[in-house]
Amino acid sequence: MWDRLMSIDKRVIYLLVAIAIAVPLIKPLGLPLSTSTESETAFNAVDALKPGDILWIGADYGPSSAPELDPMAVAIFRHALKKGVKVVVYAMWQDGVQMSKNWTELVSKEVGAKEGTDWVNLGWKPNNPVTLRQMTDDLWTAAAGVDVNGTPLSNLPLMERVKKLDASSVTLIFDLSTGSPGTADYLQYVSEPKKIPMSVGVTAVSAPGAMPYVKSGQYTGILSGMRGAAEYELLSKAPGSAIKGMDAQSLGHALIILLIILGNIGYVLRKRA
Amino acid sequence: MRKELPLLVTILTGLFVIFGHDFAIGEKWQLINSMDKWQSISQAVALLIGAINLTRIHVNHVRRRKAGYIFSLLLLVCMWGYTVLGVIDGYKGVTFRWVYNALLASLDSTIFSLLAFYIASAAYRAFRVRTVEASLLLVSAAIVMLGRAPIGEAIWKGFPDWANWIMRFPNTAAMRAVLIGAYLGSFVTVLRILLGIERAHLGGVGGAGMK
Repeated sequence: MWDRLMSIDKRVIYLLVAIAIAVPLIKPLGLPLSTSTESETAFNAVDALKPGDILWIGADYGPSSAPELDPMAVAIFRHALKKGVKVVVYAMWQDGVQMSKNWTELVSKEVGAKEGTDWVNLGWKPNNPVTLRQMTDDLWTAAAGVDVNGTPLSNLPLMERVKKLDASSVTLIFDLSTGSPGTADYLQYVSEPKKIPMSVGVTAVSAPGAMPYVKSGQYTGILSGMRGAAEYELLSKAPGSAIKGMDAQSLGHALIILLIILGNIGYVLRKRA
Repeated sequence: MRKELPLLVTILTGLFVIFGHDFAIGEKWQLINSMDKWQSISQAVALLIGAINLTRIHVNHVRRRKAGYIFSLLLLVCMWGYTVLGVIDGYKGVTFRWVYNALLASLDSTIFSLLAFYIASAAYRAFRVRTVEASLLLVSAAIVMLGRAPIGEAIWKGFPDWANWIMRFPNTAAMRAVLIGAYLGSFVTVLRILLGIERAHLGGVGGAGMK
């Protein structure tokens, strides 16, 4: 009998997971959400920027991480533009171009920000992180002189202030990353040598690897996974898809724990028998 | 010379990089900038070689009607079709973006979302209180999972604090140990390559005993 608890058919598990995730997405439960110190620190770093300061957002991810990192990008980009902060977006991942194009266009339309003056999307350039490092010497040359749309940087007023990726032009880097190239490259080639403060947003699986850099103070806060995105949405008082997704994550986690408990009850009782 | 020349190139390149990065004179001569340019060119050439090689292999599969040749055909159509579309349409192109958002993004997300099902099934089968270490792992995982989702907070207010403590201290300590170990390993490997002891990259099996 105890064996049954240990050998639930995987199709049953799959069905339960599908229900646990789909139901809260259709009918949200509205579970309470608090914020962590790490997310608050990352939020405060953006919130402390003054109108006219330049925020550099790295879009180093693809569609597989979009449910976790897109809500962060939307919330940070919206927060910055509403404060009058200028934003430069750059992707070290080819996929990051399409990802960033989607949220830059969506948010800038909503906020009424003007491309070229309030924000610029440099798109993806080949050979990263070498190109990223070259940007610290001469951004215009490293970016081949054009933005994501092929518009010459000389035609974009904001870029007149960003000739180099250094502390004289960029006040804060916020890298949204899911692997390599990503946060570690920004830290090694830009943030540390050029003394630019840096915050990061990473997928939940990448968070344990990034935590030592948060503790050492090299990352000014961290947004970790969908929870981090939801916390940023909460702090910026702009609920979005991450907060909606938290209920689904809750039931998903609860189901996995329940299954683990059932499996272990079966294991212990069979061992005793 | 077939072995010595590549070995010499490797050693000189390695020394050049170290000299450029870590010595003031290397910085003054801007050696890093030259290396960056070389790397950019090398990568572009490698990409071209990769594309040509992939095309050659899969064209052969199609020509010889090898098993699964239809997938080779699909690969060629997708690879070159999307490249041509990108060149004609550009990033701004409606069709180019539609293909990405409607096909690539959806397929990528779908594959990744399958992980939720596999992880649930794998966690159920693998997490057993067989040993003290396994039990500790299980308890930590449960606390972090509950602490990272609002349901944990709804059950007990202390779960997020416990989860954050696990992430900040035991996790950070372990990750630091892993990182330091990995960097020491990299350093040793670099030394072995620079001293010509490690030769696996030349096509052999490597190791000190290799002739």
